[in-house]
Amino acid sequence: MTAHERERLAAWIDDELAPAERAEVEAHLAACEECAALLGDMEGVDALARAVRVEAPAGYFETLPRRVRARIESETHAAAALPPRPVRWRVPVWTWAAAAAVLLAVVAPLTLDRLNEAPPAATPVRTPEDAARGSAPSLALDATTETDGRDRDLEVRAKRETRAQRPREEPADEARPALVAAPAPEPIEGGPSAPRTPPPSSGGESPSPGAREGGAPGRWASAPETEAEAAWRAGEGAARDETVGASGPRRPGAKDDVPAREGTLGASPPLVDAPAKGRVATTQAVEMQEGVSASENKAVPEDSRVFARLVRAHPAGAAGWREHRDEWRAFVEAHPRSRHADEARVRTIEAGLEAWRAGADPEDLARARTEADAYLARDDAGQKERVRRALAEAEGG
Amino acid sequence: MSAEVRDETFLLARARQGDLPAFEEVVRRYQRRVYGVALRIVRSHALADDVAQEAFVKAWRSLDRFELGRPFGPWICRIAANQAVNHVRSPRSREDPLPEGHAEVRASQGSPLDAVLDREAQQVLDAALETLPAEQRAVFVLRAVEEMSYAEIAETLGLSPGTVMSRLFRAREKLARAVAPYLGPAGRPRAGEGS
Repeated sequence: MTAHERERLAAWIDDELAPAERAEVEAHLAACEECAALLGDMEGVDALARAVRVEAPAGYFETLPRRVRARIESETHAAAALPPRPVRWRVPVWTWAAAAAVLLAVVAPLTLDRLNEAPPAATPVRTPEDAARGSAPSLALDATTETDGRDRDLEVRAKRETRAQRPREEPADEARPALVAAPAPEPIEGGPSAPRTPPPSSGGESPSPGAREGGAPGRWASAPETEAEAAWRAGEGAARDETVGASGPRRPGAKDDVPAREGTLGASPPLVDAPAKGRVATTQAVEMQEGVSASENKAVPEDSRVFARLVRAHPAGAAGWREHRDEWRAFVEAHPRSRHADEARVRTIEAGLEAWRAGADPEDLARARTEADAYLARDDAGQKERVRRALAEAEGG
Repeated sequence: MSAEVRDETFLLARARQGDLPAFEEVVRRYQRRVYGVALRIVRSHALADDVAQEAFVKAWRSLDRFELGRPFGPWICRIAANQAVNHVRSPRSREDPLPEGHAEVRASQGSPLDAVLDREAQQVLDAALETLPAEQRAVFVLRAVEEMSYAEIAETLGLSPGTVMSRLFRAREKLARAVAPYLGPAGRPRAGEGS
């Protein structure tokens, strides 16, 4: 009997042969003692394997359902705490042009009204990048890369300050209610998956500089708000603010164009899979960035606020990643029972691996390995495979 | 449809709507089977625990793709088997030999000597399973223990039915050589039938 014919013995046992083949094998078995004996032994092996009941350690099955549930809840909460990632590289240019056109269609009539009464106060800012792209002026829906966002931010500030120095009349009060009453733009398909525009503020409700300084780190904290900025924000700043924060968090180790692994935190875009409740939590996270005071943001616990801030951070270089790693570690120490604790432990390890990638310091890798081993030894570790893969990728180069 | 299937369908329908306690009950019903599939393939309790959790979490996220009314067991076992094979393919995975006594042989219907021989046969089978390549082991477990068809196994592991047949034969041949001394003249275990 050839090797292939012998392999058909397995299929004969399992009744997976066509009738003609089955007949051939049976004819052979009738004449070949060796194959008949082998067939008998193989059937015995199956029976023996079925006879074995595999047992788990004592108490294992009492806790598994609860742990599965906790893991699902934790991943759902963690995904909800993350803002959606920018999808600029996935969205065709025409989509943004269409979004800008829609926004202009809404804003332009109101702007023209104000132009008729006063020097321009709310015209869209056309940046050199816009000119180079030939696209509509950048407004809220232009999610850019980190660098572009920061550059644009500086230019916008410079232009605003220049405008502020020009003598101008205050926009008529009658115009302001009209601006405030402008409907928020419809979410654009393919654009950010959650409405980014916070509720438009009525005149005088723009966050105080102090409150803003309490918001997201870095960009806003150091710049005192001028009167022009406050006026502009009251009219359109809610939309503009999103531009700067739009670059969002960068998950350590994530490639630019590839979403994180399926079902995990950082999967892009996270809110596609999140329930509606997650979108509410994201809006709350946006409010945090706006510097809404803690008393106004009672719905978001402190650990979630800190978690969201850390997720949004943009470390750079080996030193930056080391610092980020230490911040994650500090979060875990401060909130060991937080629902984000497991994710924070994993991100501690991932930040350490990023530090190693950035600086090639073997101590960073050694430290990450030690932390990974400690994590993998935990009974409550819910993402061991993710940690293993991160280590494998880092060590694989 | 039997009452049990109706009950399970009801639970899964609730779970689909986001009812986590209902899904927790589903987990309770299938955890042993899922863990068993995982453990037989990955050969480590820690890995099997990971695999079992991931399989259920994945099932939760994919419930909208599950056809209500069909048996849930084969579906979740396929997810678990897939996860288990992916685990052993991972360069960081470690297969620790299972401790002695991790498995229980069903009560022998024969003499005390038969019980001893059964236990020995099981240990020899275990050791032989350990030496199989992970994918052969996965194919064997899904066929011999879960009794999946070749087509189901092929779909689960991303193989052709011909490859399933080939790997299954090689796995059985190797295991049969290892436990042959413990098998009776007709190739059956010495005491009692399997399942």
